[in-house]
Amino acid sequence: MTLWVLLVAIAAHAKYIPDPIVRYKIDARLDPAAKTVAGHEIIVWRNHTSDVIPDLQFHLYLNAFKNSYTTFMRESRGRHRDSRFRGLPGEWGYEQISSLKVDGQDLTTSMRFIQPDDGNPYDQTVLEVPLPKPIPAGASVTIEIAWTSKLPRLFARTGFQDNFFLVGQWFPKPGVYEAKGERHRAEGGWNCHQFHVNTEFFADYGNWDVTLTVPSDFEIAATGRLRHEHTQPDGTTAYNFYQEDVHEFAWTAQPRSQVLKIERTFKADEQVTPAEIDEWSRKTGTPPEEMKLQDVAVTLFIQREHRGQIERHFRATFEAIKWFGLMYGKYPYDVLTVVDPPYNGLGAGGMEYPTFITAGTSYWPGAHKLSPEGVIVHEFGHQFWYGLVGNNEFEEAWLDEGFNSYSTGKVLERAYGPNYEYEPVFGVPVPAQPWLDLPVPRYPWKGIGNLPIGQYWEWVPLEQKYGRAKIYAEDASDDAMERFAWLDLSRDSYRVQAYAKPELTLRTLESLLGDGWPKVIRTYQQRWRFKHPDAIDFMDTVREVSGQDMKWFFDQTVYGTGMLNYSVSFTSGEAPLHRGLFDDVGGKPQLAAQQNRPQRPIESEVLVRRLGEMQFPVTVLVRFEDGSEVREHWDGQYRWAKFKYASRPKIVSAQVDPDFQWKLEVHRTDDSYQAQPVRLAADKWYLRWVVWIENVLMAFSFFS
Amino acid sequence: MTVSQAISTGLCAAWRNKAVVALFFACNLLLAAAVAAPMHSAIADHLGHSMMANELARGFSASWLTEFQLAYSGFLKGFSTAIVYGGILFLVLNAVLSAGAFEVFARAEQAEPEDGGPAPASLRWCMHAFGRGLGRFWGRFLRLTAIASVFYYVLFWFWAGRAAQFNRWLFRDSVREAPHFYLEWLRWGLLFFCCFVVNVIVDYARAALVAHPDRSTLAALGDGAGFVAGRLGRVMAIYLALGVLAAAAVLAYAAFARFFPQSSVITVFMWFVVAQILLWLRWLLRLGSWAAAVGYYRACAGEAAVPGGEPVKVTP
Repeated sequence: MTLWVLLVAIAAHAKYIPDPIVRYKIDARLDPAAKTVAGHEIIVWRNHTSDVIPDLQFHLYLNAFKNSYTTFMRESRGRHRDSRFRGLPGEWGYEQISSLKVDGQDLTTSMRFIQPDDGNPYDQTVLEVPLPKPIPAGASVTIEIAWTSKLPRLFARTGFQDNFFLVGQWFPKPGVYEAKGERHRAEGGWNCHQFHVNTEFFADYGNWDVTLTVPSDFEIAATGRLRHEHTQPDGTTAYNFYQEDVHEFAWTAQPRSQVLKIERTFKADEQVTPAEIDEWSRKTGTPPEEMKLQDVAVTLFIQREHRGQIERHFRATFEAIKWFGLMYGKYPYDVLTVVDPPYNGLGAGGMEYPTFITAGTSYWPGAHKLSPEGVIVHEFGHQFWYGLVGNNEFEEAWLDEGFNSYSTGKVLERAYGPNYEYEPVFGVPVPAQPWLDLPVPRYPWKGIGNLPIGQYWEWVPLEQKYGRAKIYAEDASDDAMERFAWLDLSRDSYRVQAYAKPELTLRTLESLLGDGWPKVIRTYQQRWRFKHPDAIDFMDTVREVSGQDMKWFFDQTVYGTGMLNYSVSFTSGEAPLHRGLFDDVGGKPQLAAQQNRPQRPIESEVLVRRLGEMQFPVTVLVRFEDGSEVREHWDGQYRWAKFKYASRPKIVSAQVDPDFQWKLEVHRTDDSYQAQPVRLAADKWYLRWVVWIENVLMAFSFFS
Repeated sequence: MTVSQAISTGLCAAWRNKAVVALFFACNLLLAAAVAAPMHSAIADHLGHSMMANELARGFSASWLTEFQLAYSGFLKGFSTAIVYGGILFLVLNAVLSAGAFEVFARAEQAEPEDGGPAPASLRWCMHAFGRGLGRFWGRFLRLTAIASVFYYVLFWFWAGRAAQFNRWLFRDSVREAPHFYLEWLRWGLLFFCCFVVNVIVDYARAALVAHPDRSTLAALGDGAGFVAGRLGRVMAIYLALGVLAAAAVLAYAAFARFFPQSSVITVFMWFVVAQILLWLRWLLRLGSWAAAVGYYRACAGEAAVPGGEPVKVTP
């Protein structure tokens, strides 16, 4: 009877997905001293396919932290971002199931761990449960699990730091069963990968009804809306959260003494002007009434020692809600929680969960450092890319990280301007970051290393769009974007393929599609909300909305490992003298007449070369001495092409990609050529170096 | 002598001996120009006939910098090393040249005629005293630099190494950053303060050495340390006041470089000239601090005449 009531309760409400595949009812209790969460969950899982399913598969993510031989730990070597796992006693994590029932039948003894990705016998992050009776097409099963999670010390997305807890990937969670044809699968089957260091997650959308019991002096933040709380005699409080149409549930808890809870509302009518709605309505081809955003209750949990940054957190959050909403459609949930993790807890920072993100800042960030702003905008962006458009992060990480990196750059440019990361010191713009994070070399035998000395004396504009160009150019040919991320050559390569290259690819695609792009990307976002698209679905959307077949582009950028690199040069001068024997009118060979200063025609030849593997249609802009210009077009296929001019003035300059559409071009310097080299550039920057080095030498002389 | 008197005395002395200031400035400029020379050809080679040169001549291109860093990564590594070696070379050169500068401030500057009139040209011609000091003290000044290097090394080893590790270890499990943050600033502050103290001791040891040419390096160092220890507040006040003026010159340069357009041969040349004027000014302040040290040492030591060497007696 109790179970039936629960099921009815969690079946209620569903704003966007009337009949979700999965519904959760979870009760869990945090033990701060033991660093454990003891839980009980009831999952109603529906076979939405026409397959008969003989087993269930679950993620037990926390087992990645069980020992040093798990796939996660072998891949990470105990490091994630800037955090390091020490592996001291009490710091390991695991998930222990004490009871598992399916439709009331105890299957605890039939559970077994499988390793579908790498066969690592020490990895216990995927659990398989063979069923005594297969699940028919369209049928549902009720799964009841009791388990205990021991949280690891925080270094990668989940765990504890002192009494701060980020509890993510913390409960036994069903994998995704995909039918044949879903995400273009050849055969139906479970999609339930092991936990890898580079890849993140993939899950079905569902409804969540979660009750969490924590000490009463703890502040708690979680996915969804807090429905009610109940203080208990044992000094704990039970909080009930509810959220529908999301695919994950995470939460944090920490002593109230170290955190502030601030609530504000993003009021769409105040934050977005009619002019902005009109602008994006035109750009995206969306009726103005569909452009309207909705109000969002934003709750910020910020460390008390960061109280001076409250406004910065809210501004970044509001800017993100506004610009993502205008570009891609409104944020559909009415709540958003932003958590600022504590010092030494940055392993919890920069994580995205539905309606719940973690940020990350330092005690005294530069006023213009765009930290925490950058991470807030990025993690909020994941509400759209991965949260709403639920791609498979294991298999196609670029579909969320890449789209989100692209979107983050766009929002930051819109909200803060391209050169924001400089702050005025006595009226002089100084790069915001280094003056607090200055890596002072040890005197006297350590070099200046990577110290960018010029930045300390002069203002060098840093444009958002070039932020990832360097790492892209260094490593882009090691892997392809469309590849299971854990198979990438290295973590650097993963970062390029998941973040840098897709960002530049989308910027290039935006340039190539021109005004049609905002409609393309918005349509993709809207069409695939609450679904699981793959790369092909995106490409199909591009073709359909833009009316252009961009297969040539995606074949090279998404599936290829080549680089885009063209160059141009030219020769231009007088045609050679007529010397030797030429046929006269009668056809008789005759020695050419001697001429002192003949008036010879100008002959010019432009050479365009393809130095990289990518083949793009090429436009070459050629300018002549008389001010005229011509645009040549080449299919860019063969290794080179020449354009010859016999009856025009001398060429002044030639330029490949004159409209700067190719953000993927790795060597832009040789994309243009002019008759006369400009020496002033080298002279000017040499003189700057002289001044910088004079300062360095002077600093050295201090120690004499 | 008060702090302000010492500062004004020092600055006036440096101003009167502009040739010495120019010598330091010229050594600095020439060495920097030599070290930076490969950068000119590297940039010119990389740009070739590219129109990117127009953009760089007008302003700056982050795109170009990205490419340049990748294409010339090996060169840039070597270039960084060359700057460091250039710095070490200049450190030694500066130690040697400072022997001449201190002699100038100790002798030519102290050679005041009995009637208060101008000193004879032979004494006012500072380069004469400069050469004499160079020949007489360069060895001991270098030894002072070597000893100071050991102190600096220990200071960096402790404050930038051990103390930093300790601070990290102390707060490795803390969830509050503030104590760690302020201790870091304290650590850096103490490092800089200790470096300043060593620097000041070395300067006053030099002043003691030229005042008492028969002293050994160690004796002069002890004298300098004792002198600074007895007057730490005033000595540091003189030192920091001139340091603040030098910092103001750096900021003035930064503001100028930021806002002055550098897009033509003329404007680039003007910018470079202004930069050099400000650097010359900083050398003037640096030598002014040495002259102030000499003057303050002499005043506090109560020496009416310059001891040692040839007595300086000026008759009208």
